[in-house]
Amino acid sequence: MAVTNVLSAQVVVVGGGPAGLAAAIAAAERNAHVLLIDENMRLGGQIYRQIPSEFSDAPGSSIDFHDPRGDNLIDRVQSLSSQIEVWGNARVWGIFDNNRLELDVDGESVAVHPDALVLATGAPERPVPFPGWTLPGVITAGAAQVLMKQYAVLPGRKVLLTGTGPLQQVVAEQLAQAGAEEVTAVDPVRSFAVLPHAMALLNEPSLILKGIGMRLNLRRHGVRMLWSHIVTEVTGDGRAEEATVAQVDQDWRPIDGTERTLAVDTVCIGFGQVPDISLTSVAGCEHRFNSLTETWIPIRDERMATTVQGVFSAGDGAGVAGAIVAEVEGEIAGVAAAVFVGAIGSEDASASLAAATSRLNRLKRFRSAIDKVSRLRPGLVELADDETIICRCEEVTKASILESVDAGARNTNEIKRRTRAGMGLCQGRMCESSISMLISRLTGWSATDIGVQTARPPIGPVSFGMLASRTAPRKE
Amino acid sequence: MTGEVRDDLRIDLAVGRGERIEIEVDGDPVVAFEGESVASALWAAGINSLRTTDKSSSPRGIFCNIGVCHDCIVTVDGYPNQRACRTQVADGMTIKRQTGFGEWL
Repeated sequence: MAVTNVLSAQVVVVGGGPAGLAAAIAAAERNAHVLLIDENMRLGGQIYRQIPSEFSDAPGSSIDFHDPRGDNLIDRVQSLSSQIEVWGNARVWGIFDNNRLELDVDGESVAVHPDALVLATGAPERPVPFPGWTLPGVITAGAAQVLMKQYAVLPGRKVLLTGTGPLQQVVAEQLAQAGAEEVTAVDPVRSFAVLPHAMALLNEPSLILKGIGMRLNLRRHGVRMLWSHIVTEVTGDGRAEEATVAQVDQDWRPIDGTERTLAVDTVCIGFGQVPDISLTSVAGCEHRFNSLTETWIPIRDERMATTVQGVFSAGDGAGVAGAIVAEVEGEIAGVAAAVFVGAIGSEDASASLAAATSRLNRLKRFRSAIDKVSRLRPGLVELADDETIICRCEEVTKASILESVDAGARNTNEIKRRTRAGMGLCQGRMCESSISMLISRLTGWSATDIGVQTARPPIGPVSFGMLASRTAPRKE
Repeated sequence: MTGEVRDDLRIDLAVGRGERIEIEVDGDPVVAFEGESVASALWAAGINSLRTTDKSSSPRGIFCNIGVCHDCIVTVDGYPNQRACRTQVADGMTIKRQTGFGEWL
C-alpha cells in the first residue's frame, strides 16, 4: 500500500565515510538533530569499511584491517544516538526545490526536507583505459580493498598493481599480508620524486614517518616495487592472464625495448580518485576544474558552504585529499551546519572553526606536495589505442570518440549525443574523466570548455516499485 | 604473518563468517556465507567473468566493486541487471550470468 513518507530534519548528512561521520558528530555535539544517510548497510565509507553484520571479528587474527581512526568515529556516532539517527541502505537519487532529498530507503520512497544539508559523497577510483582494461580480473585498487576489508576474500594470488599515490602502496601491503603469493606494484613516478617537495611535507612530520614506514613494510612483506614503470596492456583468454610492464620517461611514456611480461591473475588500477559530484550537481551547486588533480569540484567557502544556500560539501567528494583532511573538513561543515540551523550561535562556534581551519591548512600544504608528485602525465591517456574501450557501458572506443570530435563535437555532452559515451548504466561516471583528459590533450581545449555531462535525477538506478511506494503530497 | 588461503580465495581465520549457505550459479551449486555480496562469493569461488556485453560479447566482471560501474550485473532470481557487488547472497538464490542486458526469467 502506498504510504506518505515525507519527513523534516534539521541537519542531513549524506555519506558515512570520514567526512560524513565527522560532520554528524560535530553538528550533534552542538545540539543539532542529525540524520546520517549512507547507501551501504554499515557506516565507514570506503576507507573504514566494516565487515558485514553477519560476520564477526576474529580477535588475535594476523589479518586485521581495522583502522582505529574509523572505529573511533563510528563509536562516537553510536554514542550520540539520541542526537544522530542513522539510515543504512538509503540512497539519495535526486535533490529538488528547497534542497528536498528524494531517497530510496530499502526499496521504499522517502522524501526529506533538511534545514541544512552536508554532502560527503566521496570519490570512486579514476578509471584509466588501456588495452585489456575491461577483462575480468582487472579491477580498481578500491575494489581489491572491498574484497579484503569487507569480505576477507583475497583479490588474487599473483597480483599486479599499476598506479600512483599513497593508496596503491597501502593496497599492496594489505595484499601481501592477506596471503597473495606475488605482489608487484608499478608506479610511473620516480622513486625519490617526492624529495623536491620535502619542505611542504614538513608540515606534517607524522605523515612523513607513516610514508617511510609504509615503504619499509612493503619490503618486509616481499612486495616488488617498480618505480618509473607502468602497465601498458593486459591480455588473456576471457580473463586477465598476462600483463605487459614497461619503463616510462618523465611524461609517463613507455620507453621502447623495456617491455616485459608477467603472469598475473589480478591487476589493480589506482591512479587516484575522482570526486563524486553527482549530488552537488543535481543540488545546483557551481563547480570548478582543479587542473592539478584534473577533477571537477564544488566551489566552497572556508566553512565548506557551496554556492547553494544551506548546502555544505566536505571530504573527497569535494576534492580528493584523503581521510584525515576529510575528517577535518567534515568537522568544519558540521559546525557550520549547526550554526546555519541555529543550534548554536556563531560566536560559540568561532574557536573550534578557527582551530580546525588552521589544522586543515597545514594538511592541505602536505597534500598539495603529494598531488604534485602524483600529477597525471600525458603518457597516461596515450596508453589507450584506437580500439580500446573508453565508455565501458556502451562499448565506445577511443577511435569513435575522436571521430565524433572530427565531425564537430566540442564538449562532453555533444560527444555523448553522437557516440552514446556516458549514456549507459553508470551514467558517465566511468568515462567522463577520461574523455575530458583525452580530448583536452589532443586538441588543447580547456577542461572548462569541454565541460561535464549534465547530471539529472535519478542518480543511479531506481525501480518503479520504489517510486510507486509513496503518494507524494503536493505541498510546494 | 600471512593469512592462510584455502582452496577458494577466502582468507581463513581473518573473520568469523555468517552461516554457510548454498547458491546456484548457472545451475551449479556454489558455497557462500551469509553477509557476503554475490560478487565476493563468486570471486572467492574463482568465478571472475560475470556476463558478456551487448555489442561485442566481451566478458566482464567486477570492476569498481562499490556500485558505480555496473560492470558486474547478473540475473538474480530471474531479475536481470542486478549489481552483484550490491546484492547480498541468500540461501537458494539463483544467479545467471547474463548476455547483454539479459532477460526477465
